[in-house]
Amino acid sequence: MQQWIQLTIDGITLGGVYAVIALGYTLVYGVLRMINFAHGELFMMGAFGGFYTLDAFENHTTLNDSLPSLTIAVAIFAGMATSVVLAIIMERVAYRPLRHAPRLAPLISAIGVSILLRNVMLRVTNARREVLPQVFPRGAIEIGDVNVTYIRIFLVALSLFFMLLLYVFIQRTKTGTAMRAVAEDRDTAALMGIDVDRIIVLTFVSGAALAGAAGVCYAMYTTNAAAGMGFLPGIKAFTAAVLGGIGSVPGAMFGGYFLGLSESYSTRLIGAQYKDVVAFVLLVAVLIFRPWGFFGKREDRRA
Amino acid sequence: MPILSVRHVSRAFEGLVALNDVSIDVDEATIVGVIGPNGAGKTTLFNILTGFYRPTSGEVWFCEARIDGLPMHRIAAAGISRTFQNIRLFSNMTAIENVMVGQHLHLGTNVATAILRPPATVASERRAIEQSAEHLRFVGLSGRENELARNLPYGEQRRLEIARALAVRPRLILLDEPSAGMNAGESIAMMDLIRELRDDLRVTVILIEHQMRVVMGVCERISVLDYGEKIAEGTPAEVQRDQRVIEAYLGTGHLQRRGEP
Amino acid sequence: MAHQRRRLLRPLTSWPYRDIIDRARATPAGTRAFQFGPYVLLPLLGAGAALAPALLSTRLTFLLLLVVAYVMLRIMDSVYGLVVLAGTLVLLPQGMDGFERNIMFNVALYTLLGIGLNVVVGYAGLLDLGYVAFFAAGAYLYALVVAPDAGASEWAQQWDLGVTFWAVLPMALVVAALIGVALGVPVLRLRGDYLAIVTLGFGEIIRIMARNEDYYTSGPRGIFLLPKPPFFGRELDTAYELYFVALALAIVAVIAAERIRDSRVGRAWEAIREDEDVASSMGIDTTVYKLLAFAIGAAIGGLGGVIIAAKQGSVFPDDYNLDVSINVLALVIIGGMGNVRGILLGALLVVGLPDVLRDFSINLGVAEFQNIGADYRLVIFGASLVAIMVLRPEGLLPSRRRAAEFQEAELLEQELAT
Repeated sequence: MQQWIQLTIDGITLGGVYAVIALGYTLVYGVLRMINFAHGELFMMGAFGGFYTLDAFENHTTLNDSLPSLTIAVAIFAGMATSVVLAIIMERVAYRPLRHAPRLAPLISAIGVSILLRNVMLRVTNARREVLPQVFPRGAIEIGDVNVTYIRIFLVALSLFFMLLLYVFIQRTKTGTAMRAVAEDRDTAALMGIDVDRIIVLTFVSGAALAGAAGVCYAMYTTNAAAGMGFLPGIKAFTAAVLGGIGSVPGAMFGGYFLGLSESYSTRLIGAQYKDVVAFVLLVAVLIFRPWGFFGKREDRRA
Repeated sequence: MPILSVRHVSRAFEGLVALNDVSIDVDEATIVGVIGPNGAGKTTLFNILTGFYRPTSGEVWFCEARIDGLPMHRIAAAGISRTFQNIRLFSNMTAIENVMVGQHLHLGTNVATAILRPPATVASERRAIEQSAEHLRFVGLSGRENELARNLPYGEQRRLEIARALAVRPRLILLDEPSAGMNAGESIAMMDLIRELRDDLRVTVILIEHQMRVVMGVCERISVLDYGEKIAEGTPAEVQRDQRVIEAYLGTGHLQRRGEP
Repeated sequence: MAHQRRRLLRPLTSWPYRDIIDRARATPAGTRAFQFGPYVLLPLLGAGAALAPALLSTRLTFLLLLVVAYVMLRIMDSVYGLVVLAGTLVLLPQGMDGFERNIMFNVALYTLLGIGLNVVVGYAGLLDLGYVAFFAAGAYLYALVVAPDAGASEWAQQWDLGVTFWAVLPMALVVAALIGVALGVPVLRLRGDYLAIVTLGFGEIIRIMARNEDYYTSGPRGIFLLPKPPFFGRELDTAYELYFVALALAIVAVIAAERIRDSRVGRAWEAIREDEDVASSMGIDTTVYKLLAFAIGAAIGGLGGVIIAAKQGSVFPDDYNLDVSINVLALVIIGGMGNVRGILLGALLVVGLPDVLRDFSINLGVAEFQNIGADYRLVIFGASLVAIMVLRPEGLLPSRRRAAEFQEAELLEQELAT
């Protein structure tokens, strides 16, 4: 029984990370109808942004001890900033010129960006796995017999916070409404006076900020950052977004947690070596049987 | 026996009723018109006839066999083909290549014969090309075979769509606004072409049209749809006199019948 | 804005002196030259390429090969051109050393794979990111069926079919085609991006399964001591000899693929690519034809798998990974999608060039980049993919059709920008 509780906690933690990344996917897809293949790399770059920041701060032990929250906050912001800057460049250079090209083009471009970023970091780090300085306060609370470390709680709380923030932003603000408009019908939105280019960049920025923050937190959680760390989470987060219904914010959250838990439980049920396969199998299953996900709209032309 | 029998067909889209209990019978080798205000359900009807949609209720019978619910390619094989309201040609293929696609059902080449190219296959391919050229000639596009479809002028594109639909060798052809965007001269030419389909090729034609000149000029019978329901049916003369039709649709167009709309 | 930028860069990548050529062509002497020129030029180029390895260093040879290939593929048209090209490719490895011959083998192999993927992506328009699965299928088929005593998996050891390489080839065609259909069925209704990710997933699933199912595949240890193809009493065991096998298969694949493309089947694929619903209404069973594309592409991939397994003498699951799929996709795209000629060029660029530049180093004073081919290969690779898509998405040697499609997109972009 205890094992299951532990697995559940693991699953929720992981799920939170997937959820936040998935939010980014779903936003960009809603507006651009395109899967940003390089989104996972934004996650990774955010992690490195946080890492280098923490590395720089490492010598200021007094700061770390007395105000760890400040250090952490700075690290998270640094990670978000890194991802945001990259996302802006990415959009301008690799995606915008291809907006009206046949579907294949932006997809391949995104794959190219993904490969590029991953391998640049591989060279920069010399394929090292960088260890993050321990800044997050250790310690845990006890639920039953199980220890739940603070960082896990933080991750979950952060993901819920982001979802709420995003939800409010999209539903209540003018910019958010503009995003929804562009996602619905780009040409009409343009006719209504919305600066579509700006909205698209903002969407990318939002998604990237989320991914970057998730990256830093995940790096702190696993205590390391590596150039290849974004690849699998990227694909899995995409699966999560599809599970919940691509284009739907609550769907992405649901999908993220669902996937996290499924993956966690499967390590016990099927075996750890097939953990990664779970996401793919779920993806295929959803796309075959219920392509609009759990929260999406049923879009059928036929009978 | 009518060649096509639409029996109490309804189609709803999540609460929006596009067609409500529509029944139409069409006799072979006739030209029938379907008219009605925009949104009346005319194109939905065509989509059901070709298999793009399944009716929510009702049946469609063609050549004494039931066709509703069949996949599109089977309906094409049964002998129904169509053109589209907003022209859907294969824009990056040439005119003759477009028509050759229409020949698909009548060629038997599979992977093996494609690779090995036995004489029979080569001969059938050549025949198909000749026939395609013939279809193009029928619609008046001789000499335009190797033009890219998207480079053709609008009127020629409409005719190419018809040639492509003809290559399927249909017994029933559905034309969705064939003379949309055409001037008086072009419309008259289109009317002649439609009559030739019936007279020379013995093809049954169902026509969705907004230009009254064309509808009244070529159709033998007309069905009128409004808000998804059939509100009138009869000869052009009968339909023009029908009070419901006038109210729903013809309006001033009826009064200006002799002039230009 | 975007189209202005592309206009600026266009002259760099297309032929700016087209007017000069056209004008020259108009003169009587010019007409003659353009008419007969290619017939003379092609064999000269071919001869030059064949001699190059003996005279130049590896890198220079290779650069020359790239240029020659581009020119030859651009101007060659008829059967004559094909014969000259084939002749050149046959003569080429004579003057090469082992390292170079190995590269040529890889180029030939990836050309074969590219032709297969081109059927799926280029002809039918189905973006497959899991093509490696079929490659792996062919390789493992060979490993399992040929069943060497030592190094085989437990499951395979029960069988002893006594078949050779040549018998496995047609088996691989069938088995891979079936797998292609099996993987194709669930993805039939998927569109573009989704199809890509799902196929990627399939590729990974197959790799992970091959890795873990020890009983069947010997897991990560792999299967080794695989025999070489027999040939009139001898064994074909050098890169040189196997290059010819790969080349022969590639040539057969090219002819088969092009013939299919020019037939009713190819037209059906093209119609599906252009407008699937209209294709359906013309009587084309889109399900059958999509599966056919998968099957044929998979079959060709399977052939490639058999050859690599025979050449390496072993199969390891982690060799059949996403990188292979992406490499093949990249070479098809960079070379020119839908066009077989482009594939050879793509293979030379994507597979040959990095190997040749493996220990190439640049010293910029500020920074030194060593071993470019080895270490920075993927960095350049990723950047090239983006660059090609933005600057010349139709690839270096596009088919007439693809050039038309991308032109259409560009015109649309220009209209919208004004």
